[in-house]
Amino acid sequence: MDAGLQLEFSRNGPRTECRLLQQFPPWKVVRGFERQGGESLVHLGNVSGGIFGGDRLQLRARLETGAHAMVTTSGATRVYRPRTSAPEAVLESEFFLGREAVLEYLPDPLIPFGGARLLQRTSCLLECGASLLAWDVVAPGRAASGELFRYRQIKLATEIRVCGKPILQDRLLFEPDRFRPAAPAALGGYLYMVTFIALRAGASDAEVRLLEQEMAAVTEHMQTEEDNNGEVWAATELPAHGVLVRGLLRSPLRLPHRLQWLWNTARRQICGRTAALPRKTY
Amino acid sequence: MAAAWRNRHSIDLMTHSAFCDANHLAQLQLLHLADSALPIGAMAHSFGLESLIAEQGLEVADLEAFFRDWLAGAGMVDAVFCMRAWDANNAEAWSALNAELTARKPARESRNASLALGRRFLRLAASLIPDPRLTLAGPAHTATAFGLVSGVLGIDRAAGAAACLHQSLYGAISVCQRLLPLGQSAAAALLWNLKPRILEAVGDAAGRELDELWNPQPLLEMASMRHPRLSTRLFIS
Repeated sequence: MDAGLQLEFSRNGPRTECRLLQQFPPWKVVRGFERQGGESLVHLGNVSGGIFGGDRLQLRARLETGAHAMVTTSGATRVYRPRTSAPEAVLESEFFLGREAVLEYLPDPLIPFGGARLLQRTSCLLECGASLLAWDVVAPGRAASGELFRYRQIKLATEIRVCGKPILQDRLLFEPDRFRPAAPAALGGYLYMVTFIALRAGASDAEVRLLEQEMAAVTEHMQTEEDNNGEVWAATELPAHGVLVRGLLRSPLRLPHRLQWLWNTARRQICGRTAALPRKTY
Repeated sequence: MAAAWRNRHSIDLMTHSAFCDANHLAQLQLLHLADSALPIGAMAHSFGLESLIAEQGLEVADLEAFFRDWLAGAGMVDAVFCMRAWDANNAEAWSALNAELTARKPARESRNASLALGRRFLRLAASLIPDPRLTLAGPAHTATAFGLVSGVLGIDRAAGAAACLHQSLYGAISVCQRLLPLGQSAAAALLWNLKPRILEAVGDAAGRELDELWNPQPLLEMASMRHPRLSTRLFIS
């Protein structure tokens, strides 16, 4: 199934307003909810509950100058087992951030079922002064039922360009039958992978270095906590404008706490204030 | 008739000899450029291997599988960019190619190491080979610099990429020798056994689009990100 969702966010005084330009099932967005800081919160719903083999879901969101949007999902994105003949499922998200716009893209985890094949392509194009806070969480499968790394192939492509210049081309491949997940350079026995990106187009080298130091301090705390139950975290400065943090965990129990810690640390630096995580229902 | 035969034969020999000279010279130059002793500082970098060994327990028994996966991931990326740089002939294309490769190296230390070695490699080549293409300005990665120099010397595109991967692999195995109980003979056997994989990676890389390149080793990249926090370090990256 090919399905598109197009959103547009524009600034109206202190508030950001969301307009729904196009919406085809299984995408379902109710409306933009105004948050305390004036940002517009949108929940991406999927009425089919997940992605089927051969699905091609496209999300396009445009943030006009100064707009501030928070985009989350209403639940985990399940990638179902496809028919053998079905092509890989594709989830494409493209965000355009105008000058001084802020996007917080905070989706729930991706859960690939046994046999699943998915290409997730996320592109963020930023103009000068725009800011991005985004995370991505990938589960090993339906862990509660013991289904770990039974999917066929997951490809995660994250592209960030600032004023047309490539800043990040992160292209991860998980193919358990070909690349052993427990290998020391792959996932090393960890189960959940978190990627967190924070950047502001035009940030000075000193600002980026400071952000990297703050994020590295947070990740060091996470890693050295006595009861962290097996986690490894790392933070790095991107070629310009911001940082990337990556974590691997054996258990999902601390995920919400970890994500909120990373997000608020970066948010304080980039937006000047912290916030509560978005509510899932209104 | 005998004189005619002698004449033709000697011309053939001369042509053959001239051909061999040019070919052999290119081969010798390639050997020189791919030598780990090339003074560009490669021996001081581990590209994350040091912290992967220290923190994630990479062992001698894992090495062959580790390098096989490396060749299918990061190695393939380097091979593709090396081959694309082979005929780079203007500053704009050169700069775009290197910026694209920079974006594919999120870990700061590995990215900076690749840029530092690439720039030194190009500077050294420019001092040996008088060609204006070697003075293209801006950042240069090791793989793109190697590809550009191969093109300038007329070395076959695929042979240049294979030599580039061989050099990287040799360097990485040498890092393992210094950090793990890996002896000279075992290291030599490891590199020897991986040569067919190098050719496979180069064969797969030929004609591959940039959006067909993937990294199956996220922990190696994370190890590079964590390297600055390692308390005792032998390597810069």
